[in-house]
Parts: sequence; C-alpha cells; structure tokens
Amino acid sequence: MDWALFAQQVFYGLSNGMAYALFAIGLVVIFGILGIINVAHGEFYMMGAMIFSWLVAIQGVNLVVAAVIALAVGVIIGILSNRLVVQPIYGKPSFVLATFLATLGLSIFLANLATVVWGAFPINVTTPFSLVVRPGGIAIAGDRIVLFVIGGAVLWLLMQWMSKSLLGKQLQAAAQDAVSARLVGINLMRVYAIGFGLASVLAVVSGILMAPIWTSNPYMGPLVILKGFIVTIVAGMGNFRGAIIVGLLLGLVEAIFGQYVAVQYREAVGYGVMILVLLFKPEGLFRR
Amino acid sequence: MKKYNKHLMTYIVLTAIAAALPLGRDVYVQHLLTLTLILAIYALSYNIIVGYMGLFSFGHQAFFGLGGYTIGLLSLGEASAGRSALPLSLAWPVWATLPASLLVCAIAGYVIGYVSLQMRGVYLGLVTLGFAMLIWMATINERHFTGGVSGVRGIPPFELTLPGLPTLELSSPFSFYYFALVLLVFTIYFISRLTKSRFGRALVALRENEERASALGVDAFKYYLMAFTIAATLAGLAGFAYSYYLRYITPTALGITFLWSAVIMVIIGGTGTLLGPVIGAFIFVFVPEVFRIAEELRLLLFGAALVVVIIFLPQGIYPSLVSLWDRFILRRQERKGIEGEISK
Amino acid sequence: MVILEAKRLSKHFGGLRAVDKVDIGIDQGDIYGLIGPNGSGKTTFFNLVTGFLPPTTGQVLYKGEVISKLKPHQISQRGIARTFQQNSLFPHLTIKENIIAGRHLKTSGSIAGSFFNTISYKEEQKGLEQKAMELLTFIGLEERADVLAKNLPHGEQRILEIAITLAEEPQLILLDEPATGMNAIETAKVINLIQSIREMGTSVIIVEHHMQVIMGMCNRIGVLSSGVKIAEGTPEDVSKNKEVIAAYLGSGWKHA
Ligand SMILES: Nc1ncnc2c1ncn2[C@@H]1O[C@H](COP(=O)(O)OP(=O)(O)OP(=O)(O)O)[C@@H](O)[C@H]1O
Ligand SMILES: [Mg+2]
Repeated sequence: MDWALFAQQVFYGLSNGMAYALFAIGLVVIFGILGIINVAHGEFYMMGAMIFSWLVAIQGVNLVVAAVIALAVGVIIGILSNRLVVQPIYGKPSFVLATFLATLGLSIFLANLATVVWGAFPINVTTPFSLVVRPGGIAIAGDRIVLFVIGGAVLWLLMQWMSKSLLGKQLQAAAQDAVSARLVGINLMRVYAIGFGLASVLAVVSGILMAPIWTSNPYMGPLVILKGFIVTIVAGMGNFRGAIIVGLLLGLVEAIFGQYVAVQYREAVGYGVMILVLLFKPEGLFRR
Repeated sequence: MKKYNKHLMTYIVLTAIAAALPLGRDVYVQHLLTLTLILAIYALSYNIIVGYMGLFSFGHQAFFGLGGYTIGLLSLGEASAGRSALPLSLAWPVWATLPASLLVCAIAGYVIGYVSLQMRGVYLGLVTLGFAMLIWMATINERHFTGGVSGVRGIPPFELTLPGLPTLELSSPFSFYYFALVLLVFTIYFISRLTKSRFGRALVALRENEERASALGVDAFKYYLMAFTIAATLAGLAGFAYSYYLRYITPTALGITFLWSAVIMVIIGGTGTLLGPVIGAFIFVFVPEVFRIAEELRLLLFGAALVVVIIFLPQGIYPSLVSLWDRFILRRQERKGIEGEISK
Repeated sequence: MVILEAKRLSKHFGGLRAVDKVDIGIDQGDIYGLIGPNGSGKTTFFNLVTGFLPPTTGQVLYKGEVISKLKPHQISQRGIARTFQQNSLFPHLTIKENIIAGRHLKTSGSIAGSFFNTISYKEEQKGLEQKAMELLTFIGLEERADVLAKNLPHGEQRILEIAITLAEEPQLILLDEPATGMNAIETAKVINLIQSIREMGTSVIIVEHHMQVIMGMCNRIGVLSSGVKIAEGTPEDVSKNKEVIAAYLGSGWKHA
C-alpha cells in the first residue's frame, strides 16, 4: 500500500470535511432553534464564496477587507431572509414544509440573482496561501491549512460561546423549548434573528474558506446544501457535536472511496449513507 | 347527474379552446404551447403526491428523466446511434417505447416508493432526493450507456404506423401539440376518475387525517405506494413526450432544475386540483415570454414568486381564484335573495 | 360469547405503567363502561386494542384470534371501530364525505371501474350516497350534508365521529369520551345513539366521565386506577365499591 497516497487522501478528505462541518453547523443552528430546514443555506455559502472571489480576483480588494464585506453581506441576507421569508409563515400549520418550500424559493431566487450579477462563469481566486508544499511526497495546499486552522477555531469558539455566554445559553434554551423560553423572558424574535445571522455567518465563512480550493459559481448552492443534508441527517437533526464529527467523516470517506473504489461515484457515498441512516436510524447516529 | 354533465361541458369547452390555441400562431408560440402541455402532464403527476397524498417527494424529476431516457435509448436507430456515439441501435417503434418507458418508471417508482414511504415530512423529501441524485449521477457517469453529460441525441421523430392507415409523423410543434393534448386530456380524465374512485377517496382521507383513515381500515402504506407508483408512471409519460418532442434528452431532465420546476408549477398553480398544475405550467412557460424576461431572470422571478405565493396564497393561484369566484357568486346570490324579498 | 379479551395486558412508557396487567373480557352485546381518574390508562387501553400502540406484555384476542401484533387498519378490517378522545375527522371533507370514508371496507370499486364509469361503479356510488344520507338523517345532520366537517360545532363533530364508526358496520365499537364538552341536549342525543347501537346488537366499550351516560347505559363497568383494574361489575356493584370510591376521592375525579 502506498501510504503517502493514503495520507494525501486523509488530508484532502479531512479538509473538505472541515468545510462540510462548518457549513452543516449553520443548518444545525437554524434547525435547533427554529425546527426548520433552510434550503437557502447553500446559497448563503455561494454568496459568501462569490462575493469574496469577485472582490479579490476581479476587483483586487485586500483579502481581509473582502472577507469582512462578504460576511457583512451574508449577515444582512440571513437576517432579511428570516424577517421576510421565514417569520411570515413561522408557527402556522405545517410550517416545517412551508418554510422548506419558501426557502427553496429563496434559494432559486438567490442562485439566479447571482447569475444575473456575475454571469454563469466560475470565478477562481488565489491567495498568498495558495501554494503547495510536499513533505514526504504528500501535497499540502496552504489554502487547506488555512481552512483547517480558521475552521477549527471558528467551531471551537462557537461551542464555547454556545455553552458559556448568556446569549448562547438563550439560543440553546429556545432550541430546547420555545414556550418555556418565552416564559422566562427570552425574546424569541431576537433569538431567531440572531440564530439566522449566526447561521449565515457560518455558511459565508465556509464559502470564503473554500473559495480558493473549489472554484465558485452561482449554481453550487444545491450541491453544497445536499452535503449539509447528508451531514445533519446522519448526525441527527439538531446535533452540534455529531454534525462536526460526521462532517469530517463524510469528507474522509468520500476521499478514500474516490481513491480506492470509484472516483466518479465519490459523491454517491454520502447519498447512500444518508438513505440507509434515514431508513434504519432516522433519528441519526448521535443523540441530541 | 346534472352536475356531472356541467363538468363534462366545461371540460369539452376547455379542450376545444386548447385545440384552437395554436391555430395561426407562429412556430415559436406553437412550440411554447406544446411545451406547456408536456410540462402540465408532469406537474399533474407531481400533484398526485403533493396534492392528493399530501406528502413531499423531492425525487420526482428522476421519473421524468427515466421516461425520457428510456425512449431515447430504445428508439435510436443505426444512423443516429452513430451520432450519439452510443452502442445501442434498437430502433424500437413508438408502440413499443411507450409501454417500455411507462414500465420502467412504474418499476422505479414502486421500488423507490417502497423504500422511502416509511418516512414522512421532510425526511421523505430527502430520501427521495437522495435516490434522484444517485440516478442523476449514474446517468452522467455511465457515459457509454447514457451518453454522459451530452445525453442522447438524434432521437427519431415520433412515427406511428397503424395497419391500413397512413403513417402518422409528428415532427413539427404544431402536429406534436395535438398529440400532447391527447395525452394531457387522458391524464386529466384519468386523475379525475382516480379521485372519484374508492382508491382516490382513501388517498384523500389519508391526506386529511392519516390516523383516522387507518382506524377506518385504510392501509396507508399500500395506498401511498400505489399512488406514488402511478405518479411516477405519469411523470414517465411526460418524459416520454418531452424526449420525443425535443428529440434529445440530457441529464438536466432528471436534475435539480426539473425538481424546481415541478415544485414551482404545482405550488404556484395550486395543489390538489386538476386545473391548478395546468395553470401553473402555463404561467411557468408563458409569463416570462410575455414580459420578455431573459432566461436567467426567469427562475429568479419564479423563486421570488414561490416565496410570495407560499406566504400570501398558501393554496396556490387557482384554488384562490375559485374561492374568490365562489365568494363573488355567493354575494351576488345573497343580493338577489334580498332583492327577491323586497319585491315580494 | 366473549368477543374481546385482554390478557395480562400492559403498556409501559419508560418507567410509567400506563396499563398494568389488565384482564378484561367483553361479551357479545355488552355495553361495557371503562372508567377511572385522568391518566389512569383508558385511552392507552383503547390504543392497545386498536393497534395504535404495541403492548409491552400481554395480548389482546378478538374472537379467539390474537390481534395485538396487527396494524390499526388490519384490526379495523376485523370489525373493530373506534373514536378518538380529541375530535378526529377529515376536516376539509364534507359531512357526507366523512361518512362515506367510513364505508371504505364495505366497498370494493376498482380504479378501472371508475375510469370506465361502469354500471357497477355507478351502483356502488349510488349505494354510498344513499347509505350516507340514511345515517345523516339518523343523526339529524342531513340538511348539512355538504358542510365541511371543520365548520360543525364541537358537539356535532363528536356525533359525526360516532356516525362514521356506524358507517363501518362494526361488531365492536370503542368510544373514547363521546360526550365531552357537550351540553345536555347533545348528551341526550349521544345516549340515544348508543341505545340504538345496542339495539343493533353491536358491542360497545365506552370511556366517559359523564356518570349519567355510564350508569344509565352500561351493563358492566370496569374501573382503572393508575393502569390497574381495581374493580369490575354491574353499575350498582361498582358504585358501592369502597376501593373505587377511595380512588376517586383521592384523585382529581371530575363529577359529572
Ligand atoms: N404516547 C405516550 N407516551 C408517554 N406517555 C404516555 C403516552 N400516552 C399516554 N401516556 C401516559 O400514560 C398515562 C395514561 O394516559 P391515558 O391517556 O391512557 O389516560 P386516560 O385514562 O385516557 O386519561 P384521561 O381521562 O385524561 O383521558 C398518562 O400518565 C399519560 O401521560
Ligand atoms: Mg383518555
């Protein structure tokens, strides 16, 4: 067995997995707090990646400034989506499906808006980190290291914040039981808005971190959201730690499968696993 | 009985209007009309799941595409097979490709439904989506068999030879329109009779209250599975027409955009009715044309429309129009009633 | 003749014993009252009998056949009908359509019959209409046959529920608090309805807090308390039973 090749796939897979985890955590936040699935989460990711790539690669804006702008736009889109699309139907009968469809509409809207703004061509962005070192024959891309470091830090901060800060605790309380949360004086509307803002930040962060790794195009939202579905379903809806673990594992399994079984069906593994989990353990692999 | 005749009259008039629509129009409009009818069949089939079963599948596009691919692959002759670089040259005639594509979709619908219908709600949507994505991926990857991303090209024109009659060839949008109209009328009649059957009543009872229906002896799984299979088969019928009409089929036909269009047509038009999805298809094809909206703005518009409809007209456009009309009639009758009282 | 038999029937929810080793036998023609304080396991017992919950231990026999592993629709197919404690209708169907839904097992029309509009299809439709109108006349709702079920007032919704079970022509009916939230006139109507069910020879198990309904109708009464059957017998026996009185006084028993 060629261990360098194996290690290569492990690195490659885990770094993709970090992006899946970051992305999926945003879905988990919204599902945890509002009990709904935001289909447009994939387009939040796409928006982050596109704005960042466009600013850096086409407009020549500084990396950090571009990232800040992308984040700001992402937060605004997130909060507006909650206000204009989700809240008007939230809490009505069968709102879980209604919000699913409404956010599907939003995702179609955003994907095509991006096409109108940037055209359908993919944008490639390179950063000062876009170089490859080869210790022991393993190609390590700097952008993937950045993804690991920043992604890991964001996840760690998020977990800390959720368990330590007052706001984080309020979010969790609302996630557990909205009625009691309201009784103890938590302003749910504010919590929902913050939850959506937070989730879109996570989507945008993963979009920015992946932008130098994958090329970005307006139509990548659905592909990304499907990864997010796979991760959240397999982990168990609303499960934070599970989503991180499954996210990393999904990246890993895809890479290994692609290397040793069939590269063209790399992406199929996730769907297969998702279907099996839904059928045999629909509550997911991890308890909430 | 009277009510039945009135319904029949309405449908005859509507069919007559539909038959007159393409007369004297330019070819482009005829093409759009034909496309509308084909998409209407597809929307109607999706509506069986959404409107009558009250469930959500996000894998319906797979059946549309499977129907299209089945005829595409089976009907290729030697000449066109060369063009498509596909090894197949079966050159099956229409009377064989039609049952074949329906059968393929029925079997796929039965199998996928059998596995997925253990779930409800969004979970059902996601399993079916998973299956559709697997089929989509296989279609792209198995290039030697499916033509990969470039799909199947050079499908021969629709040609029906019946003994003792001249060969019927439908190669123009105009002639194909009437074939699609026949299929659509059949689909509408079929679904309307379906809903009036014991089967349809059980389905609606399940949609309204699954617990109560099962206490009345309705086997939920059996009925859902049957309905899902029928819906898949009708989607295959639409795919069949689509493939023969355009004379090519690509993986787009079983990809995510065809899921979007099904959702848009059915939700915007109105679920659980016969005319809602047809109106939805009409709006889907024609509104962007009328306003001369660029291709990429079209889905943008419908994405926004989907949001607006779900928020403001959760039943969809057609049922809302009907209830508006009912209210209007009711008010008129009330007024008449009052006037009657006064004149007495 | 015993038609329904629960043998050491138990249902545990985690540590909670909602139904605990209950033995109950129902004879053909019985109007059996099942009473007990709130949360004593009456509805859970119904759910066990009708297949909506699987028992933890024990079994249910119907005419000698073990039915406790069957699904709700299979149990319904054997002739057991039920109502629910919470109104459970088909809200967007008309009253008549609600009744017709109850005829599911009594009809057999195929899709093809409907497609070709065959004579047998038409006859079945006509029969359904007739049967529905008969039943609606019987409960006095014939004039509102085309009203949507959700638009009926609460009391009439509950009466419609009973009528749906009658449309099934079952041999055993389980009624879960049919008279809750009803005024005196509606309650009298329910009593009349159950009376006529008895005259048809159909057996009934009825859960009810209205003592007027229970004592006047039932030939036998069983009492549950915390999932355990603490007494059984004729209405007089039960109302004199010390344990029963203690159980009620010691809990939130509602006097009717
Ligand atoms: N699905 C369930 N999961 C967990 N606990 C349950 C479930 N169903 C019932 N219980 C519990 O079992 C106990 C018995 O409930 P049940 O509804 O059978 O009582 P009941 O006698 O019908 O009361 P009531 O008069 O209020 O209708 C209650 O403590 C209830 O909370
Ligand atoms: Mg109860």
